[in-house]
Parts: sequence; C-alpha cells; structure tokens
Amino acid sequence: MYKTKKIVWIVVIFISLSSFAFHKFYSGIFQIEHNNKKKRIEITSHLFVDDVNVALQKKFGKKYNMGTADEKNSEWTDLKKYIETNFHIWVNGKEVKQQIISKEYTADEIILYAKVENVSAIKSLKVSNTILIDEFPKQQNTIHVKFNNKKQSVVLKDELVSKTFN
Amino acid sequence: MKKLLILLLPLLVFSQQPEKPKQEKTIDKFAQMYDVLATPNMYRTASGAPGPEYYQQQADYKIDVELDDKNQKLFGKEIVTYTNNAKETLDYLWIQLDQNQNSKKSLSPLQNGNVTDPVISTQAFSRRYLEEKFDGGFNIEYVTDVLGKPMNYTINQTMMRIEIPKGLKHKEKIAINIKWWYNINNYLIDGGRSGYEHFDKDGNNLYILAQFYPRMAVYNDVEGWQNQQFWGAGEFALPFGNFDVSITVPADHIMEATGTLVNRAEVFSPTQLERYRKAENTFDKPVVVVTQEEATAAEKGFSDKKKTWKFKAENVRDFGIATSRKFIYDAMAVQLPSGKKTMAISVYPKEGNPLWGDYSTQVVAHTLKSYSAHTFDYPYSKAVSVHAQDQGMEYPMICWNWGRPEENGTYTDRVKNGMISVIAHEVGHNFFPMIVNSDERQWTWMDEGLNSFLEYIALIEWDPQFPANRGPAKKIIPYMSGDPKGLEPIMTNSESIRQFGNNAYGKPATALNILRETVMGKELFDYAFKTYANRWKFKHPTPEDFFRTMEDASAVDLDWFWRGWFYTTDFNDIAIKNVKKYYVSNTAGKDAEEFLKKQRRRNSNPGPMVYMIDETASDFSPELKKPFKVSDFQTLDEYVNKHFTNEEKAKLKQPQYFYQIDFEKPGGLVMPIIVELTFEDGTTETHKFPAQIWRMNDTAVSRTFAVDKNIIKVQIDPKEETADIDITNNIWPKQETKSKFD
Repeated sequence: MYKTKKIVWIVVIFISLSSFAFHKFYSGIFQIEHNNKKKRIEITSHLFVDDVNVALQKKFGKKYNMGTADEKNSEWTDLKKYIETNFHIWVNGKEVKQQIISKEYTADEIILYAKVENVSAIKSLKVSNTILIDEFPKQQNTIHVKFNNKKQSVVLKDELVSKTFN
Repeated sequence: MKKLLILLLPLLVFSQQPEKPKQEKTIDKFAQMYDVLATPNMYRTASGAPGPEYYQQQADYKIDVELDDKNQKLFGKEIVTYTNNAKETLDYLWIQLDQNQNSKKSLSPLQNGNVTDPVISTQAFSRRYLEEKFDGGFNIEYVTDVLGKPMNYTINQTMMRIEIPKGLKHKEKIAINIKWWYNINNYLIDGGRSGYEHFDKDGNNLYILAQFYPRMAVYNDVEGWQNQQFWGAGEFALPFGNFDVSITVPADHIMEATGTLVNRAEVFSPTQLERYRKAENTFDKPVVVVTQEEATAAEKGFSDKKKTWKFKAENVRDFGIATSRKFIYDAMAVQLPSGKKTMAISVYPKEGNPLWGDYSTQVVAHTLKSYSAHTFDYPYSKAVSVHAQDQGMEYPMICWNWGRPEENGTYTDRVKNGMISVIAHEVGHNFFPMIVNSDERQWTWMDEGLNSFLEYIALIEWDPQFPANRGPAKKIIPYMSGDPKGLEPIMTNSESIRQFGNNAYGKPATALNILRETVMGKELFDYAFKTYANRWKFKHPTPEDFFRTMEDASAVDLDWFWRGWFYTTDFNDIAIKNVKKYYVSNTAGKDAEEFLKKQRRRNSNPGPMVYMIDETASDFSPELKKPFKVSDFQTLDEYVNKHFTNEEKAKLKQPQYFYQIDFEKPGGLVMPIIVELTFEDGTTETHKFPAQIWRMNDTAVSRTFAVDKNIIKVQIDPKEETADIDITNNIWPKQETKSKFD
C-alpha cells in the first residue's frame, strides 16, 4: 500500500514541466511584518493544507491528515520541523530563529503564526523559503514584508528561493 | 522689424515669468476612461454591444482520427472549410499547431531562467540534466487544396501560415486538407492540458485528447490574426464552426466527445442503449449506462478490433475527446429554466468511485441550471464531466476534472469539495469562454474571472455553507495587501502574470462579487451581466465590451471601479481617524469665534445662530452635556415656531446627540464607506456612502451623524464585504484585539 502510494506522489511531483498549472494552483502567501512597538517580527503563513500533507508525507514517509479529524499531535511537531528546515530569516545579516506559535484552518488553508523576538531595528531582511517548492515544482511563495513603514514583495519559486530586502 | 517684435513679445513675457513649482499630476480616480478604452466604432459600439459592421469568421471541420493505443499516437486527416466574412481580402490563413509546444524545438522551456540548485532530487536531476525531452509536436504530412494540390505553408513554432495565391475575398470559402500525426504525451510526466494517464495495475490508458488537430486562428477587427504563440499560460482563441468528427479506437473503448453521438446503436450494446434511453427521461438522479462491472471486465480485454465513433457538433469553437476501456458512464436529463432539456453525463474509471458516481453528474446538472439562470439557457445537447487525475480543463460540452479518492475508496471533505468546485468551474466554462467566446490568449481574466465568479454563485446555490475559496471579499486580502509594485493589474496579458490564480481568477471574481453585492446591488448587476452574456454569446467580446455593457445596462458609473480594480494594483483600506461628540450651545465657543472670523462675517449680520461645541474643547462647560431639545435653545425655538405649523413640527426629527466621524483612506482604491453605529442600548444602524464621497479628497472625509441615542461603537465594513486589507483601523473606540503573536 505504502509503496504504490509513493509512486503516485513521485508522479504528482512531475506535473507539467512544459505548461502552466491550470485551475489547481500551488501557492503560498507569507506576511512578515516588523512590530516596532513590541520589538518583534510577526509572521503569518497561508498554505494549502492538502499540499502540506503531501509534502510532509514525502519528507517523513508516512501519511498525514492535518486539518482533518484524524490529525495527530505528532503531525504538528513534524510540520514545525519542516518549516524550520525550509524557511529562514536573516536580520541585518544574522540568521534569527522563528518561534512557531499556533495554527488555524480555513476551508482549504492552514494558517501558521510565528514570531522572532527582540528585533528592535531592521536595516536588511533576508528571506529564504523553499516550503513546498521541492515537492511541487509549480509552487510559488509570495513573500510580503513590511518594516520601517515600507512594504515590499517577492514571489519565490523554483528558480529563486531567497531575497534580501533593504 | 516691428512686426517681428510684436510676434516675439508674448514669448519674451512668457520667458520672464518665474518658473512655476513642479506639480505632482493629481489623478482623478473618477475620470471617465477615454484614455484607456479603445475608441468605439462600427464593429463595437460605445454601449458595449456588437455594432452594425460586426463580423466573425467561420471554420467548419470534417475530421477523421485514429488512436494507436499500443504506441500512444494519434493519426488524423481533416478538411477545414474557412469562410471569410471580413470585407477585406485575406492573403494567407493562420492555423494553430498547439502540440508543437511539446516539440523538442519548443521555445517554452527556454523562456524561464533557472539556477543551479544546491540540493536536487535524483529524479529532478535526471529529468533536467540527463533525459531526452519528450517529442510531442505535430508531424504535418501534407497541406493541400480540394484538388489535392499542395499549398505553400510555413510553420513558425505553434503557428502555421498557409498562403492563398489569389486571396480569399469577402464571403468566399476555402477548403484545406491537412494530414498529421503526433505522439500523445503522458500528461502526468510531461504536462499539458491533454494526453493520457497510464494505470500500472491493469495496463490501461485513459485518454483526454484536445488541441489534437490543426485549429484555425481567430481573425477579427481587434487583433487582425490572433497569432500570438502558444507559450503555455495564455489559453486559446478560436472561431466558431460546425464539426463532423469520426474517431477510431479499440473496439472495447467507451468514449465521450464534443457534439451529438450519431451512431450510438453501433457503439453501445443493446442493454447500454436501453439504459441511455432511460437516462434521457430521468431527471432526478443519474442512470448508470456502462456499469463498474462492465468497465472492469473491459479493462482486461485489449481488443485488436476497432470501432469508429461519430460525433456532430454545431456552432462550437473546439472539440475534445475522452476515451478508455476503463470508463464507467452515467447520465441524466436536465430541465433548464426555459423548460428546454439537455443531458448531464460523466465518464470515470473505477478509481474515481464512490465519489464520482455519487456526485459528478449531479454537479454537472446543478451547474447547467445555475449558470443558465444567470446568463442564458445552455444551448448544447449535453455537458460531460470526465475524471482525469490532476486535470481541470474545459472544452465545448466536455471537460476534465480532478478529485480522486484513496485506493480504499475513502476521501476527505477537501477532496470532495475540491472535486465539486472543479466540476462546477469546468462545466461553467461552457458559458465563458466556449459560448461567450473571449480571447484567452490575451486576457485570462475574461473567462477565468467571470467563470470563477459564477462558479462561486453556483457553489453557494449548491450548498449555502459551501467552503468556496474564490469570491468572498475577505479571501483576496492576503494577495491584495502585498506591495502594489510586486503585483500586476488584472488587465495584464496572460503570459506576464506572476500569480495566476490570484490575479486572473480570484481578484476578478471578487471584484464582480463586490460589484454585485455592495456597489450595484443584485438587481442592477444581474440584469447588466445577463445583457453582456446575451449580447456576446456565440461572438468574440473584448474587455471594453464587458466594461461598457455593465454601465450601459445599469446607469451606474463604474469607470472608477474598473480603473481601480482592473487597471491598478491598489488595495482598499478605509480607517476611522477620530470620532468627536458635539453639543449645541446658545453661546459661541472659541472654535466658533475662530470660524466666524475666518468666514469674514464679523461685520455682516448673519442672523440668529446656534453653536456646536466639541465636548473635548477647553472651553466646553459640563452643563451643556445633556440630550438636545429644540426648546432649550431660544433662537432655534423661535425659528421653528415661526416657520412650521404644529402639524409640521410634529414631523420634525428629534436628534439628541451629534457625532462627527473623520474617515481617512490609506488605500489607493476608492470604495463605498459602510459604517455601522452601535448605540448604548445595543441596537445598530448602518449608513452607506457611495465611493463618490472620495471624489474631492482622496485621503480624508468627515460626516456628522445626528442620532437619538449615545453611540458606543463605530465600525467600518462590519461584514467584511469590501476587501479592506486592514480591519484593525476600522473600529472606534480602538479595540486591543489579542495579538496572535503574544
């Protein structure tokens, strides 16, 4: 059972190298904002939960049911591990560790809340994000950052997985 | 000499003037759209309707194709009969060879940059650096005229030009014979909107065939020849025509395709035929025509015999085919709003059950009824939903849809809802763009946006609690709150859109939903939208035709809305800056004195007055702090007694408190202000101001509310219907919402 599944997933991963994805989109939105008053970076991530389950299955080799009644506590631990591996932030050239706080589900999304404490001033902010990108070549991660009252955005994907904002 | 001096004089005067300070050009967000819309003409009128000189070309096809199932190849011959309805003579025709996007020489894979990944999976490495690319381009064997004489043709990537030495004059027809073949792609490996899926367990293939024949390009008054190459993102632009198609496949295949099956008795067993007749008169649930048992038995056959299926379709823009031994087939009759009948059909492998047997055909039937009610009666004889893993793609009368249960037949709500959504969406495409035939190569939003909007309505009509992800205003906020410079407007060519789903599906669907529910109201919107659909069914509309019709049929000036939502990347953010409570006074406070001075009325006689004093003003005296009564203010009382009869006095309003609310607008979009006032007794009152309230000042505006109870809370857009990206500034008094990050 597990073996055949795996083959299916490998197939899914190679969807359409020559044409654009249509109607089923692989995308995530990440809002990274500096809260000046509380001296911290606040991160809100929106991901399609079915894609997250597939990605975790590929990485950890077992079935995931996040967002369903069958979800186990260990799945949240694994997701946090996955996020830590695939999502890095550097403030003023130095990598900072984000603390993942909580999650919420909507009809088809999982929303994650995370923060980086003790950040008082930002001169540069570097973001590297490969969440779902290794698993889905069509994945596009839109990063919206806001610090020093300035908004900036970038779309990270297969060909571009990191960006420095000034 | 004198003359010269006179001539020079104005110039000299001008040059002596001091240089004016440079002014930022102020943009009038309510300016009419003469600067961006195409000039109306005899083809397309200023009302958004087809004009008296509107014409469109016609392409009729007679096609014979044969499938080589063992080697996954398709062989075809066609006669295209092209009618030139344009008044000008055409020296050549352009034909689309879409499969060339899969050819080894395709430029599509070369149009994107890539970097050397520090980590790459072995499969990805192999595919990127080791393996030879699949060769799925068209092999054209000949192009001849009716007499079999070769015609001159040139292939440029996905477009083929055929020369007509004598030219094709107005109303003339030309028939062209083309023979071709190509290797069918395994779309799960090589991608594409058509191809086949291979089932390892039983060795069968499930084919979904489209763009399988050389297709005429569109020639019209807007683009000339629409011969922009098929790079992969911008879908199709196709003329209407009649199709007569014969498809030869292994004898044990079951098939569905665009058009009416004209030899059903030859390809169905007598029992299946009888079941189909029953389905034609069954309106409540699908009748299974080819059962799972029959399909499972057929999977093992691998017949060497052949069968030819014959379909005829009138007034369609394209043709699609689904064929496999694995197909289960069910069907039911559907009654449309006018009473006309059509058929809802599904074909799916057993891997789709139980989900597909339970829902697919029912969703097809529901979608046809819902869309018909909002546009026009579905004009074709049937609509088919085909189950194809990981596909969501539309053709006239037939579409491919994803949504597959686990191997043990279980499925999550997400898979089920995803499947229902994709079927409603793809069946819905029959209306946009299959019938209201917009140019997808140019504008993805014109079919995807309009269709996602109607899909949302269809889903809510299917189940009011349906978890629809495109349509509700709130859902577009994460996208629209991004840096506007990193996004592109909806009016962007299909190939240049970075976030396809949000830009071409989500945002236009949301915009129309907001237009319907908040800006225009359902009645005005629905009439105008229906007018657009009916004006342009079986024709080729442009964005202008849509924008103009929506205004023309409703008398709602929408230029500001199209400008903001479709031509910019601005977002909506309206905030409450301040709320001030005023009391009426017999004597002028400091503010009033100042005001009068500024008004230069010191020496004039302005007549009796009352004064409004802000309760936070330094000279505010506490005894003023009581509910307003006319009789407490002598000058006002005299005025009222002098001007109104007792009967009239009884009808006067009796406000007790006065509040000025200052609004500000950090967002670039202009949108209506919806304000909800909550009173001390818990009751509420909603006030709505049209977007035009911003026309004189784009950043700030105030309104005074005379009310009969104390206000304890003010909230903008309480139902979150305007996609306001920051709702923390929508509430007074400021509420400390518990941060998700504490």
